[in-house]
Amino acid sequence: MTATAIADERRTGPRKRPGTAPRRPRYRSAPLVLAGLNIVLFGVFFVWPGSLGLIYSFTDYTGIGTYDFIGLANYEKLFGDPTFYQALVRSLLYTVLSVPLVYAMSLTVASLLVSKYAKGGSVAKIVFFFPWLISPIVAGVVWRWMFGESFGFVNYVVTELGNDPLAWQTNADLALMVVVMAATWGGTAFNMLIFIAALKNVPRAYYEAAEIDGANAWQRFRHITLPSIAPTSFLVVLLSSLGAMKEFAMVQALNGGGPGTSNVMLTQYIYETGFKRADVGYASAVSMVLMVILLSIALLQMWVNRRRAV
Amino acid sequence: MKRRLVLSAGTAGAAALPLSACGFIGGDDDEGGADKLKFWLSGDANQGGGFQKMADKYFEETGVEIDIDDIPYDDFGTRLRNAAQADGLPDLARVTAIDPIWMNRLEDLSDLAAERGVMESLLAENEDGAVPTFLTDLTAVGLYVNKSLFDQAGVTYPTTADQLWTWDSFLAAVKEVKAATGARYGLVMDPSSHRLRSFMYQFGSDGFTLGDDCTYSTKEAETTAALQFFADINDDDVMPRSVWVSGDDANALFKSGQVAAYYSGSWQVADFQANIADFEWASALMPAQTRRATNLGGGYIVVYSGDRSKAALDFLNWLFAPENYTEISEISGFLPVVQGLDIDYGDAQASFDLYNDEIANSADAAAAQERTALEMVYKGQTSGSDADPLKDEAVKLANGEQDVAATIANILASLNENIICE
Repeated sequence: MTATAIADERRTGPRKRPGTAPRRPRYRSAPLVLAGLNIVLFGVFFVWPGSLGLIYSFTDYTGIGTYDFIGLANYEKLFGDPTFYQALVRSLLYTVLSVPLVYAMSLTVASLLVSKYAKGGSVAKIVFFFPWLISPIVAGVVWRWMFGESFGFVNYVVTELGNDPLAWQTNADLALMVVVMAATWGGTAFNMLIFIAALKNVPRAYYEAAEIDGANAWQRFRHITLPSIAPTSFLVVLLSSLGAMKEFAMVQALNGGGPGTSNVMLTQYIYETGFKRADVGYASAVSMVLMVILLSIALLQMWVNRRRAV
Repeated sequence: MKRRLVLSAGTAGAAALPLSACGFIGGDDDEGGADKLKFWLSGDANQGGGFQKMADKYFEETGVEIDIDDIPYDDFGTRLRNAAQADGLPDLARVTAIDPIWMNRLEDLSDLAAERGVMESLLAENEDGAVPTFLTDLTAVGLYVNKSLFDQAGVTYPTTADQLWTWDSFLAAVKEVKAATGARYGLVMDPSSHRLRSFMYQFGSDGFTLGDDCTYSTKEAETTAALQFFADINDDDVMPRSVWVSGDDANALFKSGQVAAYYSGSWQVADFQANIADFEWASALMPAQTRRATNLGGGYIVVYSGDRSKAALDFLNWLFAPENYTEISEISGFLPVVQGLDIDYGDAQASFDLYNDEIANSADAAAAQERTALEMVYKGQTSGSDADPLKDEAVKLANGEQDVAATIANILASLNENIICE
C-alpha cells in the first residue's frame, strides 16, 4: 500500500523549484485516492468479516434467523470448557513440535543445496519443492494411506523388519507425530526457498577470511551463516508458528483430529462448533481467542527480534 | 525503473481482482436457463453411477442437461447449508436429511408421488399438507461375509431364518475364521450412527426416542448391553479400532480380503459386484441378539423453488416413470419405493432377496426412525445443528475416553439440548 503511494508520489508530486514552497494539499488527497482500492479491499475482506466475527462472539447466533446479544456468556462458557483447553494445548504442542522441525529441515536442505559440493541441485530443488504444490487435503490423504494402521505402507515395512505394527491411528501421541511429520514435509518446501535466497546473499569473503583463520565448517556455520540469515530465520519461525496454529485442512484429511477427539486442534474445534453444531456465536468467541493468541505470538517474536538486533 | 515496473504491475493485479470476482459471480447467475439443471447428490459413483446414466439418457431424449455434482457424504450437509446461506442452492438434490435452514424453499412433490405410485407408507406430510420430499430408493443395513475366508475355515453363515445367529455366536464364528485363515480382523462396521442404531435394535434397544414430555430416553439395560458389546469388540482384534476412532475406510478394509465380515448396507452391492475380484463375497443374515432388526434409509429427493423448479419436476416425473425407474434400480441396486415393478438384479438377486427378508422381519423401530425424523423437522423441533451425538459419543467410547454410562448420559444431554418444543 505504501509502496504504491511512494511510486506515484514521484509522478504526481509537484516538482521542486528553488524558491517556491511545495503545495502541500495535493499530497494529501492523491495518496488516499491511489490507496483507495486497497483500503476498500482491506475493509471488505478483512475489517468487515473480522468485525462480524467479533459481534457474533457476543451473540447466540446459530447461522439462521435472528440472534440476541448475550454479553460475555460465550467467553465465560469458553474459559470453563475442558474441550477448549484440550484443543488449545494440542495446538500449542503441535506448534512447539513442528516449528523447530520445519526450521531445522528447511535450513539443512537449503544449506546442502547451496553447498559447492552439491550435485544435481536444480533437480533436487524441484523434488523438495514438490510438496508445496500439493493441496494440503491431498497431502493428508497420502500420509493417511502411508501410515494406515492395518494395511499402510509404513506398518508393512515395520512388520517386514520383524517388529509389531505401530498404532499410528489409534494412539493419540503417535497420531500427532504423523501430523507433525506431514507438516514438516509440507512446510520444508517453501521455507527452503527463502533460506536458499538468504544463504546466497551471505558475502563469500567472510567465509574465505574465516577459512584462512582456520575456522572449521561448524564454526563458519555457527558464527557467520546463522547471524547473517537471522532476519530470514525470524520470518520463517514467525510464519511457521502462525501457520501451525491455523493448520486445518491437512489434519482434517489425515485423521480428523483422531483418534476420537484427542488431537482436535483449535481451528478444528471452531469448525466443529460453528458448522456442525451451528453454534456460530461460540465458534466466533473461540476464533477471537485464537486471534489474540496469534497476535501475541507475533508481537512476542517481533519484540525478541528487535532486542537481538539492538 | 525496475522497481516501478513491479509496483505498477502489482497495482494492476489488485485492480483486476475485484473485476474478475464480479465476473465470476455474474457468470454463475445467468448460466444455463431451463435446459441445464444442477443436481447435487452423494455417492452415485459408488452405486454404479445410475443417476449419471439416467441424466445422459434424459439429455438424449429431451436436450435438457442434468449437471450432476457428486459431493462427499461427510460434507454434504454443510455444503447445502452454506449454499442456502449464500443463495446458491442447486435445482434439485438427493439429500440425506432435511435441514430446517432450507426446508421452506422446497417444492411440493405430492402430485408427482401420487402420479408415479410411490408407496404411501413412505410419504410424510408437513403442516401445510405438502410432501416436500420422499425417498428415491430404500436402503437397509445388512451384513456381508468374505465367503472365501468362511469356506476356507469351514464355518457356515446363515442365509435363511431357521439358521439365525446371535451376536455371541457370530463372534465365535468370526474368531474361528480368523484363527483358521490368518485373516486380520473379524468384522468392520461403518462408522455411522445409522449402522449403530440397527446394532442397538438387535439388542432389544429402541435407540434414543423422544417422549411426550419432550425429552429423550432410552431403554437403559438394552442400550447399555449393546454399547458395552460395541466397546468390547473395538479391540483391534475383532474390529480395527482405527475405523471408528480415526475414520479409517471400512469399505476398503473389507475389500482388502483380510476381514471376515462387514456390517454395512444394501447400497454396497453394486460396488462389490464391480470392484471385488480377489475373493468371493456373500450377503448373510445379520445377528439377532434378542430380535431381528435392520435400519432403513435412502436418499431424499428435493426440488428447490426457483426459476427452474418446473424443469426439475419434469425430470423427476420422467425418472420415476416405470421403465426409467426400473432401469436405475437395476444399475444402482435400489430397493424400489414404487410397488409392482419387475426388477432384475442379475447376479445380486440373492443379496436383494435377503434384504427384502431382513426388512420384512425387522423390528418396528427401523421404519419409525426415518418417519419421526422427518416429522420432527417439519414441526420445527430440530435446531439448526448438524451434530450427530450418537456417533460422536460412540467414537469417544471406542477410543476409551469414557465408559458406557457416560456415553449414554452425554448422548441424552446432547439430544435434549438440540430439541425445540413449543
